[in-house]
Amino acid sequence: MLTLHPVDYLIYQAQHLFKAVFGDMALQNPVGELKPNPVGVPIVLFCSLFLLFRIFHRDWRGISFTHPAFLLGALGWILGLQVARFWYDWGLPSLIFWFALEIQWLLEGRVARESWQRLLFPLLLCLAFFVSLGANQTNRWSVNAPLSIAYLKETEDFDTWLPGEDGMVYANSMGVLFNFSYTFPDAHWR
Amino acid sequence: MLGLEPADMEQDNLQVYWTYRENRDLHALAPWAKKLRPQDRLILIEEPHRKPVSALPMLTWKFLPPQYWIGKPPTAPGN
Repeated sequence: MLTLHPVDYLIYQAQHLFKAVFGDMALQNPVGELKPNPVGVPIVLFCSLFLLFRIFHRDWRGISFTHPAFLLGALGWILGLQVARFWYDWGLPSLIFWFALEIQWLLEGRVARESWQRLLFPLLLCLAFFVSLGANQTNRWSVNAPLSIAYLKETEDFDTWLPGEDGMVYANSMGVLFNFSYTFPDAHWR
Repeated sequence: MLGLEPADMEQDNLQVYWTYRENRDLHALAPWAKKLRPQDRLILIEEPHRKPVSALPMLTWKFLPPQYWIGKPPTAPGN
């Protein structure tokens, strides 16, 4: 409703879905998220560790491999081998939820509620999260349009390198739109 | 600024995009390079060593570190 074009908005969403998924060229060469997901060895190993732990301790109480979250995660993983979206949207969130339940079971059964050892696991998780978030993996923090534009502005004729009024930008990646739209939100380009 | 998903491109533009996506060959973008108006630009995200001038010599190119190549037609201002 906020678009003030509720009907057009819904029609556009439906049209876009069918064009992206069922278009002739989309079927031949689908976008990345509709392509198969890699096997993901780490996630399989991680699940196997929980399984081995339970086998080793012969403890099948609480949440286990018959839990709906695990079954949905496994199903999402299998279907994701054909279309990655099954894994990203269904499999991965379900397995993360299942991991949390398994870790809870692990802690509740073996570490006293008041023990300082309870803090150890979340602290390690927080540390891993902090380090991974700050890491400049694949140049995700250093590669940005404002940096490029700052470089461009150092050249004398930088205005002539940007599109003109009512100009059209052709690009080989949607990253161009995502990055430049923040730098030039009021630009009259398409 | 207005951006459109590739699926919403006009059919001829979409064909160029899909042909390029098959093997990321910059020669496939020649139809876009040839139809640029003075106010239009072709902006690529490519590694510095993948200089587009060899595949698309009809445009003048400028590299913006760390990953953008901007191409403008000979009729554009500043050429």
